[in-house]
Amino acid sequence: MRRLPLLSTVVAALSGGLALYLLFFQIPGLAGLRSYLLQSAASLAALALIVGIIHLLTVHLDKLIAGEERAVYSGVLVFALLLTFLLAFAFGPNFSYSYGSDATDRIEPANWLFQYVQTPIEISLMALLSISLLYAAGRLLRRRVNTFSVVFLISVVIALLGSSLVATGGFAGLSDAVATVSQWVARVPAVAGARGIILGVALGTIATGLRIIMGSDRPYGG
Amino acid sequence: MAELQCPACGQLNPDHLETCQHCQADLSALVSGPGDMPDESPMGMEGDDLADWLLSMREEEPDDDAGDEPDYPDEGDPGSPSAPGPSPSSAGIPDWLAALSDEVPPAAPEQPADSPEDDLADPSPAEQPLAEDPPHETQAIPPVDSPEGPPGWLTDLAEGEDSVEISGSSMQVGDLPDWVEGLVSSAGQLKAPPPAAEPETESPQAGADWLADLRGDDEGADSPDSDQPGGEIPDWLEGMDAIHEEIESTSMPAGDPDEGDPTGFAAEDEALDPSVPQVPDWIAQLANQDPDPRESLETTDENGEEAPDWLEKLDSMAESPASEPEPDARAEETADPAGEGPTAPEPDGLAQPGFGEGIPDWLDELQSQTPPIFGEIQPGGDRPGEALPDWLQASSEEAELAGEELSFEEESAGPEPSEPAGAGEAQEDMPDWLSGMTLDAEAGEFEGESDEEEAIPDWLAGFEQPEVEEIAEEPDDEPLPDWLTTMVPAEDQPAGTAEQPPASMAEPGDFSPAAEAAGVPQVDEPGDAQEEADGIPDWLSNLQEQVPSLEQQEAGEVQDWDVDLPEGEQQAEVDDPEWLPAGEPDEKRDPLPAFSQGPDEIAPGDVPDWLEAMRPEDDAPAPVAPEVSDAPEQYGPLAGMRGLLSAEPGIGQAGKPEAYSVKLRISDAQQGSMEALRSMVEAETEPQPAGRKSLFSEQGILRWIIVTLLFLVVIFPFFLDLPISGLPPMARPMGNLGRLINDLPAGAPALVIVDFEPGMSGELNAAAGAVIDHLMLRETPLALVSSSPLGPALGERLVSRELAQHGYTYGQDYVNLGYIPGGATGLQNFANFPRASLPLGYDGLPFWGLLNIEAANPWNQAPLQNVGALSDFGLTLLVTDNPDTTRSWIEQVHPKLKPGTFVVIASAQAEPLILPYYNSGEGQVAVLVTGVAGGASYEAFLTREGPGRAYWDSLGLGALAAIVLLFGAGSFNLFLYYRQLESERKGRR
Repeated sequence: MRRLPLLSTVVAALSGGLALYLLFFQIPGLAGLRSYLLQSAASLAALALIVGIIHLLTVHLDKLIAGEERAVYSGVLVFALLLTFLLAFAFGPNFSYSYGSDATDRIEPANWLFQYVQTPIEISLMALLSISLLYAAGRLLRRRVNTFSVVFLISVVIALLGSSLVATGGFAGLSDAVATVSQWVARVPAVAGARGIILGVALGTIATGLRIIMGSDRPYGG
Repeated sequence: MAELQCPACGQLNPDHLETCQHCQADLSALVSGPGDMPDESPMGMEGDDLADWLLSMREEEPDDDAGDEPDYPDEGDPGSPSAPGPSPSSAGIPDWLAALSDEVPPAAPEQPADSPEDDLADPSPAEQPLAEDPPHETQAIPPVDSPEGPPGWLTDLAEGEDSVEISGSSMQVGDLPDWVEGLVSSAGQLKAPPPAAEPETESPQAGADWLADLRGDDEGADSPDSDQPGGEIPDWLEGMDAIHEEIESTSMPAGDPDEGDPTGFAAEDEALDPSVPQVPDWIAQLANQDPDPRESLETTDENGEEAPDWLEKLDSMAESPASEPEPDARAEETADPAGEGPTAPEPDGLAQPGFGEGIPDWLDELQSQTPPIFGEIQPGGDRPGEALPDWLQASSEEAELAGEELSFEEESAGPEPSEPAGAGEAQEDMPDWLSGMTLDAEAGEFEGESDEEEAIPDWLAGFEQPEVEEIAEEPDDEPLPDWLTTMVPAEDQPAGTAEQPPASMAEPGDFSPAAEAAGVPQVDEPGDAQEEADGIPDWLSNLQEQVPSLEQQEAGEVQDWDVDLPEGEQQAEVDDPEWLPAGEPDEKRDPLPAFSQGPDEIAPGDVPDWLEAMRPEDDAPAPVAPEVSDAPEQYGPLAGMRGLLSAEPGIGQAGKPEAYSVKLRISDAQQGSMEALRSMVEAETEPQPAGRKSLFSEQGILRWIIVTLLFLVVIFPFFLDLPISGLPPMARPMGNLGRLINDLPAGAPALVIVDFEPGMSGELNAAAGAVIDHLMLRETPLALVSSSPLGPALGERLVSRELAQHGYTYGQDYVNLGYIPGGATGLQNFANFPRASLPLGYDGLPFWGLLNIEAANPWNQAPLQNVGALSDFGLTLLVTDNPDTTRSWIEQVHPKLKPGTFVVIASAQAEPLILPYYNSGEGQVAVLVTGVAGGASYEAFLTREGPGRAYWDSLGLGALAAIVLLFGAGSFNLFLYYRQLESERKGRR
């Protein structure tokens, strides 16, 4: 068992190094190997998703069996998961059930769950997020009044002004000025920050890849 | 009728007897004359049986007598073992030698068949090797004896040539020249046998100058013209030096002259030469340097007609360190391979015919005037009880060379003794004490009468019995010599002498066998103290008085010298001295020598007062149970016995061990602190129940106001159904996207990547709806794919629900490739191997539909039949709300796409992160459509009504309401902040 980390490290390093090498240098004989490595990674990721779902199910089943105080939520989760799995996997996502003679008298259980349960819930969460962000921005000056909080609020207002009726309402020069300022903020400072973030992410990705190839970083454990 | 003297008991026996009538010792060796030798031993006198010294003598007189066999000096040489009998001619023989000849018993003449001439003249096979050796050829083969006349060298001696003067002068005590002293000094150096290859040159290896001169004068004995024996006086003296060596190695055979030491032959021969009978003072000096006193005795015996002076120097000899035995050197000498020969020159030489009877006066004086030394060696051969001087006993270490002794004994006692006949004759004439000295030569006879310890000399008995017993058997009334008495205080005397200190006094490493054989047991033997008291000298008595008895030692009376040593070391030395030979009985071991205990010294087991005062009270030793218990044993095989050793403490104890509490002793305060800490930790882990907050609290009211205001603002445009505002300004021209879609080849599929979450579906459906609607208007085949698990469902919903008016059918107008797992890796794999990475599509069929793989394979559907790679897609449309996902698609998939066909429809929140790729100038993102504004703009470009325009007014109003709320809430909160600060300032004041 003590040799397992070493083995996994070697496998990760060889796989990553070989895939990187084959990315830059096309070797006919090793094209299949590169495809195999990539497909293996994709399959493992899908399998990891399944494993995650199974783990989620078992955790909430344990809570449900244990009868904890808030096990009812776990019960709802387990029920919804099993139901969706049953409808989508067993009957298919486009399975429809006709309950009348009309063409519209039919229902697709899986799509119905997705359209009328999951999508509205997530959209509602986004709506609550907007209200929460607005409320937090309004209370920002109550808790802390400093330069950054003021700049933050000004940036938010300018961004909102660019999407508001002020920019598109036809208020003569005001609209153009607001639109210009809003676009400048979105194109210059925001893009500058975004580039910095992207460059940082790229460098971090390279460093992480090299660390994994060299075995210094072992996110897979060990 | 001749008589033979028993070599064992010294009694005379008729010559026809083969065994001693007194001691049953084997007299065959004595009876058989030298003439018998060839018959019984083909070696005869020529080869192996010839003593080395005899061969060496031949070497030294090589050629002048080469053709004159009767002139060979061995004929009348008493020291020669091959001498058959008395010399028939005594014309040139000195008086003493003539006397010896007269007294020779007629044993040899009575055996004419034993004529050595006949025997020796007959070349035996053993002679051939000798004959092959040129240096020895003329010396080994010539007849030894010639009854017709005396040998030439004797004649020379009689005529006074060469050595006659020396001989004559040497007869007189004290007339020795100075070179004799040099001889004495070099005697010890001559012990090392020279190599046989260079006998003549190696013999004087002792380094004496005069020997070197001899070599230079004589050119060795090899010279045929050299007049060796008589002409060169130092030769025999050289032999006198070498005699020590030869006598020590008495077992050195003469049968193998090649292996023997030729020089030794000559030395011994000359040493035994009757021409050198007188032992002057140098003998005494020789004895001083001779580690083996027995050798000195023998030497003096051979020459000792006039050698009383050296006896006078025996005291100094014994005290001289030069007399210290060198057992190692002796061992080396005796280990000489030549010593494995069948004959022993020493007894032969000592037992020359007529030699014994011709005891000179000095020998008588030896017996009478030198009681300290030779009084112990009684002429009558009463060896039991004789007390040899310690230095002589030390010399007996030579007898430790058991192999040598045994070999000799076996050969002597054999049915075919190789011993020359002269030995028996010499034995008769040999004085008893000399017989005792030559006991090793007659060991065969002694073995036959081993029960008679009388015949065994003391020094030999010392090897068979413990030394203590020897001492115990010493005559009590026999006084110790003065010199021995004087040696007692000299504790620094070297080992091996009589004054050898007790072995226990010496370091173990300093122990020597001589010391063991000398006085150690005598001193330490506690038993028979009374018996020893009479015969023990004063110094020994003093020692005994100083040495505590064994009982005293057991009583724990540690002596002063013992205190200096750790207890363990003492015990180790006392109990098991390393120098003590293994296997020796305990009673033979030396008890510890005891020394007087000074009054100021620490008594054993007693702690001084000053040390006792320093002992802590707590460290007082607990009373120790006696080791020996008087109570009878209760258990085990020894049950009922008393006086047994008790078991170790703890071992014999039975029962449960004492239990020790591990409970901590804590005070009440510590206990309280511990409880407080415990309660705090437990409180942290317990979930705190959410407090009920009032719906009309300050925060609650504000939240409700925000929600209400936003909700009203957002839904207001839907109810108004009028455009409140105009179209948003076009950040980027939509014409490029329109042209791109319009330029798509007919039937060229478009890849639509649905990579967003359902929560962002309102924004992205409005943004992407117009573009996808444009594609459907163009009847572009669509292939949906997603890197998000919910993406395929969203794409399916977008195509079949939102844009259901176009009537796209799965498998004919569009296919859903499904979900691409693996993140960036999966995207890379999909970019390189699209068909292999997604073999199954999201067709909406149940799982059993997957059994038909060919039907389930989306790549076999109509929209993708002509697609083998991503570059075959006419347009790639990415709908995403995640900038990271956008980056992955751009980085992993974009290189595989057809250039300028990658369009990104992103959420407004992801625009800043995607905009760099759009502005890069390399066309990574050909067209970027962001948010509701982008969708509304494209709808405007298409002049179509869509959700974009509908959402835009609500978005605009909602954003305006948010700005108002931000200002209102910010201003109010800022007011509260300053009021709070003011109150705090007032509070401080």
